[in-house]
Amino acid sequence: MASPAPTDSKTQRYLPFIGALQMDFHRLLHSRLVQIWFAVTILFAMASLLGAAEKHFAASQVMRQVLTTYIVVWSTVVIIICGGTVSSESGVVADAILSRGLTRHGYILSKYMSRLVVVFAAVLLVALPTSYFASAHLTGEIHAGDILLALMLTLLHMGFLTILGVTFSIWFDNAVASIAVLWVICYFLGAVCFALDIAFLSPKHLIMDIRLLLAAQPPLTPIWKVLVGYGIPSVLAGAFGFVWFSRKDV
Amino acid sequence: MALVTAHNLTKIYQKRHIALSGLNLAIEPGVVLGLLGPNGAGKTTMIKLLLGLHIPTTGHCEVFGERMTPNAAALRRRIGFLPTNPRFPPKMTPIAYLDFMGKLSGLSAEERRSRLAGLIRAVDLLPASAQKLKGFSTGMLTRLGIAASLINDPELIIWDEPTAGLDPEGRRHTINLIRNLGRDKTVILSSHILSDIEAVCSHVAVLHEGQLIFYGTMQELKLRLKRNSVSIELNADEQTAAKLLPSIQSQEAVLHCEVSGCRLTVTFDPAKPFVGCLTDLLAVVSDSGLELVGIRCGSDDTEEAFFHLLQEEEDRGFTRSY
Repeated sequence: MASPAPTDSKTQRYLPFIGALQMDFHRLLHSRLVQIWFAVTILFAMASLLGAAEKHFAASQVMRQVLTTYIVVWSTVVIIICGGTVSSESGVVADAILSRGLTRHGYILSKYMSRLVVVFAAVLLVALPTSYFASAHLTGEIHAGDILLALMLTLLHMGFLTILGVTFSIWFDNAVASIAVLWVICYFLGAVCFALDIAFLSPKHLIMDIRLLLAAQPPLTPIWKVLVGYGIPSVLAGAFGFVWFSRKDV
Repeated sequence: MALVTAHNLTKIYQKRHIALSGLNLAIEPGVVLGLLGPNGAGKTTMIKLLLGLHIPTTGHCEVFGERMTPNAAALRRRIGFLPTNPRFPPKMTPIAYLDFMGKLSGLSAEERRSRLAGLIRAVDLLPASAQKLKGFSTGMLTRLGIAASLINDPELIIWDEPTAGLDPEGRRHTINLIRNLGRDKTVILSSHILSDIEAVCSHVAVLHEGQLIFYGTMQELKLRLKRNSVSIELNADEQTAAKLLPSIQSQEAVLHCEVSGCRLTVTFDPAKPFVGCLTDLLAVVSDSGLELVGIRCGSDDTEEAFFHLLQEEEDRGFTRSY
């Protein structure tokens, strides 16, 4: 009675992943929180530029203000967007998504990817035009290389938070608990790292490095250390998320 | 070769709750299996294990001859699943939802388009196809869930409580649909409504406290019942029907007789031939001049057979304990 297994073509194999990714992008971009966040960051950058032009601030000051706001303020938005990624979908995930032709790895990869793209887009879509206008119209010279390095540090922090947020949402079954724990870790651990003079994963050290880079001075922590400091925990958090989710009852 | 097999399938949640214990089962292709059991018997756990949504504590299950795991997406592409009270993204329309389900099943755009329209029409959602799902009634959502479970033209259909929340017409429509699907597909159906199971299923599996206490055909389940009782319905009120009691009770084979409304329930001596007892009873009714509306033998009652089975199992458990 059972017909032979259908051919597992490449399209068949990847279409569920593409479908899940498209759906997640669609949901994120239609979320009120993300829309308001994008609008507020754009307005904030415009206000910073106009204010700086009026008060004759240097371009580096505007860039520092814009980038550090991501680390200090907008981190909370990233935590909220990512902290409930999987836990808020519990029930629907098993019923509608994972009971189909999508692997657990495909599902979780789509979550990491969509969140990273949206968060990076929120940073880049504001920071790049701001840096262009700041360089072109404000006083004080600012090197493109320094801007790119400062931007990379900001993206490292935001990317780490994004990966950690999705991982926490896999680990915790409750979205509120996941967001709360991540928020406490992000802000209080940052303060602890700074107090103990631990350079890795300390937002305060990161802000100081961004300030120094934009002022054309060498950062306190070598760039490779920051890269490793954020890169290794991000990869570990992502790997933990994959392993945990592939063994979880949904 | 069996389409679905469970080998010593056991699930223990958080080292505290045994949801399923040592389940061994082989479901042949073409079977329409009714999954029965009280709440907490392990029906949904069994379904989730068969789909790879939950991971067994011990044992394993095979579907289409291959081991089911959380990443066995190719196997799930050949299964159509309808969960109990399915939840849907509220902002989507039925068309967008079914298209998404088609993508998740690995169907190309052309395949999705050709199946989508037919399914929306089949579940009678065409007038609501442009509306968002947040305004849908429970019945409409169940019908959409049914359509979603069929988008990939599955070989194996697993439906958990498909008639929950449906009005009588929707329920009848769903029962007919299962009957039609059962002609060329293997179906596993979990339901609390025993008449639904009786109407469509060829086989029954009864779960009780995580254990499989019966697996066989519907006839085999009914045969486990005592067959020495009969219930007759008369076109008369309770007082008139009660007038028949003395003549019935005077019969040698009758052990017990009671009247409730227009229904008489008679229990015969199991040692006497059932056909003879029934003939004598019908002769009394015929002589009374009352009109016979319906007659039902004890073995016709699936519900009673089910509860009889549960009672037997509970008694056995009690005996084992002492």
